[in-house]
Formats: sequence, structure tokens, C-alpha cells
Amino acid sequence: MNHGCNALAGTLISALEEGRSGAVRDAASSHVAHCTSCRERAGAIVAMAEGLDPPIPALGPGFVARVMAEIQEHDAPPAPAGAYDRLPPFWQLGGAMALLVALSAMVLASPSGDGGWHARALTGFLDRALSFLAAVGEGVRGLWDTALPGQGLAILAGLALVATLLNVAFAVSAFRRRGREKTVE
Amino acid sequence: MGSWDALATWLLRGCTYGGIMLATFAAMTLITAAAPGFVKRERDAARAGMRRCFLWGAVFLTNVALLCALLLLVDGLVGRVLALAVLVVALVVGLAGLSAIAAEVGRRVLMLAESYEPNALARLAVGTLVLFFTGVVPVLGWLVFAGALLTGVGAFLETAAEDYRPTRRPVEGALGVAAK
Repeated sequence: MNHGCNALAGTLISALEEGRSGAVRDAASSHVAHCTSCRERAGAIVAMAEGLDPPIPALGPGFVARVMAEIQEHDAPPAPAGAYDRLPPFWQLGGAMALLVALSAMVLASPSGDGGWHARALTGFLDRALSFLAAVGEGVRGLWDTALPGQGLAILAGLALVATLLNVAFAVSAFRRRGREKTVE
Repeated sequence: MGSWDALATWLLRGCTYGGIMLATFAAMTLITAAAPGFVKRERDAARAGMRRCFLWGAVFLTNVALLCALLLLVDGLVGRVLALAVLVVALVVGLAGLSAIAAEVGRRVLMLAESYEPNALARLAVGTLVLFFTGVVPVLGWLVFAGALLTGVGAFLETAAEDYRPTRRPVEGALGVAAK
């Protein structure tokens, strides 16, 4: 390694740092081509530079459009207001539930003939779902009755109570979170 | 003749499934048209907390199933009527929630097709098709569909919680408003 090599080391580093090209790069390339020690040093410097600043992969097709779509989605104006964008007040929900219960009672209490016309037509799928849930209820009750005789119904009721309490806990948590978000806004 | 019977049975099942899919799509379109802002808020809620929505949906539907099972053990008409009412409420909540998830799935699927600004109906149609056809795949598809449904139910409940959150009235004079 002679004085020229030492000078070239500094040139290589500064060329990498400043992104020089043209005459400097050509001079370095021509020296490295016939100097073994400089070739090794240049290779090490280039590898280190690539390790510190890895080459950016080419962008896929539609990348810009995809990013723009995401931005537009976030900056989009609020959706057009519909008639029911907020849920109705509780008294309206209560009225609807009362109507639903009354209609269900009328359908289920109507003279059914063989098989039940409501089971075949009006509430076909719901009736199947009810039968399935009744079977599930009986199954759970029977299972617990086997383990703890006479306690099946109480355990089923207990499970329903636990699930209801969990639902209430979720609702309270959502109320609090929404309240915090509003405060931050 | 046995093979023809089997074919007819499969055709009937396919038609039934297709009918359910179309009916669900129609109901979801109606919900989206009636309350576009609500469905958008549901989508936002699902995006913001997918796991939380999934968990709440699972708890809610378990609660509904247990309540219905309990009510159906009551002798007489009352139990059946109340169980039916609870089931209808769960159906409405499920449809409203699924419409938001189907719209989100449709948006992402259409992005794969380089369509970045699809209209709401296209999003909903593609999402419904994808979810229902995935639901045909045994076990895995059922789990995916159930996951979408539960997340949708949870998103509905999150959004409903926002609507029904009890608001506190500001205390008179607390914000510099002089009491008269």
C-alpha cells in the first residue's frame, strides 16, 4: 500500500458520504482495478455502506394509488346522513320490542294445524333456531344434572347471569372509553 | 335414481344457501342505505378495536343463546314468545354488524383489483360474496364467517354504546358560566 492508496481510502469514503460520481469514481475504479489491497478495502467499505443504508426496494405497481386511497379514506368527508344514523331513543326501542312480542305471540298462538304453519312459512328458520336453542338448553341442563343432580337449571341460569354481567361490563367499559375520547377531542 | 336424488338434494341446498345469501345482501343493503353514517361508524369501531369487538360479539351472542335456552325451558307461550323476540333482536344486530364487516372486506378485496374508490354497493356486494363463499369451506370457512359475524356484532354494540352513552350536564358555573 503506497501513498496513493492512503489518499484513495479517504477519497472512497468521501465519495460514498457525499455521493460523488463522475471523475472521482472513475479514478477510484481505475486504481481499484489493478490494486489488490484497495480492491479489498473498497469492497469492505461498500459492504459497510450498504449495511448501514440498505438499497430501497422498487415500488410495486399501484403503490402511489394505494397510498392515496388510504389517505382519501382517512380524510373522506362524513358519510351522507341517513334517517337512522343514530339509534332511536329507548322509548321507541321499547315500543318496537312490545310490538314484536305482540306479533310473535299472535303468530305462535294461532291455530297451527299439523306441523304448525308458522314453523313452515312465517318463522321457518327462526323456529328451527328456537328448536336448536331448546335442544342446547336441554343438553346443557342434562349435562350439569349428570354432574350435579338437580342443579342443572340453576347452573344454566348462573351461566346466563355471568354472560349478562360480562355484557354490562363491556358496555360500561365502552361508555368510559368513549367519554375519554370525547374529552381528548 | 339414487344419484339423481343426491344431485337434487345438493341443488336444493345450493339454492337455499344462495337464497339466504341474497336475502342477507338485500337486508344489509337496506340497512346501509337507511343508516350510512351508522355503518361507517361501525366500520371505524371494528378497525379501531377488532379483538375487542370480536370478544364483545362472542359474549353477546353467547348471552343471547343462553337466555333463549333458559326462556325455552319455561313452559307455555311466554317463554317461546320472549325467546323469539330475543332471537329477532340478535338477527337485526347481526345483520347490521355484518353489513359493516362485509363493506370493509369488500373495500379491501377491491383494492386487490386496483379499484381504490368503489361505491358502497359494490363494496357490500363483493364483501358479501367473499364472506358467504368462504363460509362454504368446511371448518376454516365457518370460523372465518363466524369471526366476521362476531366482530360485526361487537362493532354494532360499540357504536350503540356511543349513541347511548349517558352524558353529564355541565355543572352550572363550573365553566365560567355565572349562575343567574
